[in-house]
Amino acid sequence: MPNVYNWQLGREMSYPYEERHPQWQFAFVFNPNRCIGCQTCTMACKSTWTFSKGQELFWWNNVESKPYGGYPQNWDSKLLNMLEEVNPGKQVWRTAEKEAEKKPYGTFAGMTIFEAAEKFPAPDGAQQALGYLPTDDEWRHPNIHEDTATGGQFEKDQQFGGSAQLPEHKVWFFHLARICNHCTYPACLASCPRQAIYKRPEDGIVLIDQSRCRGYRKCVEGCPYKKAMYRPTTRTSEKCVGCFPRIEGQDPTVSPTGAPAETRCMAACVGKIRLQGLVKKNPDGSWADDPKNPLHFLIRDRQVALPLYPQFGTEPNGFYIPPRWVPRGYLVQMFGPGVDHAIEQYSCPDRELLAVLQLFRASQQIIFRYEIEKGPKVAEIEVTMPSGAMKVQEIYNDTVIGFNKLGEEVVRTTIEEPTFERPAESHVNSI
Amino acid sequence: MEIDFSLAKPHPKDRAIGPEDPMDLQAFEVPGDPQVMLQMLVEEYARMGWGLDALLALFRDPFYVAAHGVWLLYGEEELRRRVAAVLARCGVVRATTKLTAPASERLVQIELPTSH
Repeated sequence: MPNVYNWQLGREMSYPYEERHPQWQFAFVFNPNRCIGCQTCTMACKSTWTFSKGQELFWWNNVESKPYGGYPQNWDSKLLNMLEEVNPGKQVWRTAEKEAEKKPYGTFAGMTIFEAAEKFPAPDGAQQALGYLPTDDEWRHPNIHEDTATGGQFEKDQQFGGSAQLPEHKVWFFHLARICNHCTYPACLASCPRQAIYKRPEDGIVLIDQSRCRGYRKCVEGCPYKKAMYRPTTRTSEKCVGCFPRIEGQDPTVSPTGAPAETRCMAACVGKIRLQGLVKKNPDGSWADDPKNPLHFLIRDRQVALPLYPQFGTEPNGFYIPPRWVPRGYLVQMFGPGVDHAIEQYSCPDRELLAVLQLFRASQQIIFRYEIEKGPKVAEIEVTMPSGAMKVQEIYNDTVIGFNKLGEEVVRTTIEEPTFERPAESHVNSI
Repeated sequence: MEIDFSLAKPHPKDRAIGPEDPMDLQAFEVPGDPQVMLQMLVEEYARMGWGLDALLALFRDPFYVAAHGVWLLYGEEELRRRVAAVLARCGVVRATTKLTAPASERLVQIELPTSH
């Protein structure tokens, strides 16, 4: 297999095809700290793309509650177990070897799904990427045990044979929203024996050519995030299309001037947990230096947002701000070794970071550049750091302005002076 | 083989869980501190302009299971006290957003098939 460079792993890795990179790359940042699992994104996607016969079990966008849940069930722990079995005790990171551009999280010393498949072929035939085919049952219940384990609206003992009596987390969990990561090195693309899957050169969106697909389901087996799905009525596989007409600026109501717009799931998010964009790439696959692109700022400059399971090796283009209350070991397994740094920054955002965070779900058009109009300091507030210690955060009356691809201003958000509501008994000047 | 249709079929939820049953929850507990989760959630939503009443409504709603889990654990009064204590410390940060993108001037005409 050829070698390709994966900046998330900080090293080269083997991949079935030579390196070729798009001009722009579809990417996004999700903030699970804010997600309340309302599933509005899920339904926005469902009602746009997967409402037809044969697509009943399709959730191109899903929100699962970690640590219980998964769609399909246990997708991540199953693959982590498979990797651990082929490379026991060696799926580790060397964090001393950091380098800003080439290896921001250090170096992954373990095996990716491509390397594991190459060295340990499956008994029933060679795979391009280590993976498994989920059963129908695993696809069928996207949120089983998630909404019930803490009681929710139901009575305990009344469902699923009383399984809700099994260990409950009292109380930490978080909602993990997931869509296709439109990976730089897609395992679905690598696995397809028909070469029916391709990555668009203009925006890096990964698509399945329905006229070439024969429904072998190798992409379903190979995708580590399980975001390629088989449709029995057409006998082909389908996946998230990145709402490409909106990315192309073809929605006349959202993009009257033809500027790219966010996907449906992003635009529908009421919790303001999502920021989507296109990042400019160099021919060698590295990210072009674009410091005023909000995604570049969050992912590369500040490293507040981290890839989901980077150790799988597909270089996913979906990034997450780790939820602050979750046990650290769990987060490191999920988002890699950058977790401590990311949480430290996010817990007490500085002036620029706080301003950029206001751009989440601020506009339906994709923001390619931001500017900050600086205002006076209006407050100092106490926030909790990961150690449990308190730190003072400075709040400024700044305005962040977002611009679309055409350089047109699309949104401006001003941070106001905070208000404090103190209990009446605690201050002496109460009337 | 003869099938006795007179026997009542048990509802799936009443059936015993088999050893390979995919519906069976295979889980173990990872310890965590609910007070930390509460504190972080409140700080997060306070950054988005949510005050005490709005936050309590969120925690009360059983459909938002993460937040509701905290409500179940502490109860209404204790939760109100804890949320108010965090808000008194970190305040409620508000931001005003103004969309400045030009509004669409194009109306979309849906083309209907002509009847024959």
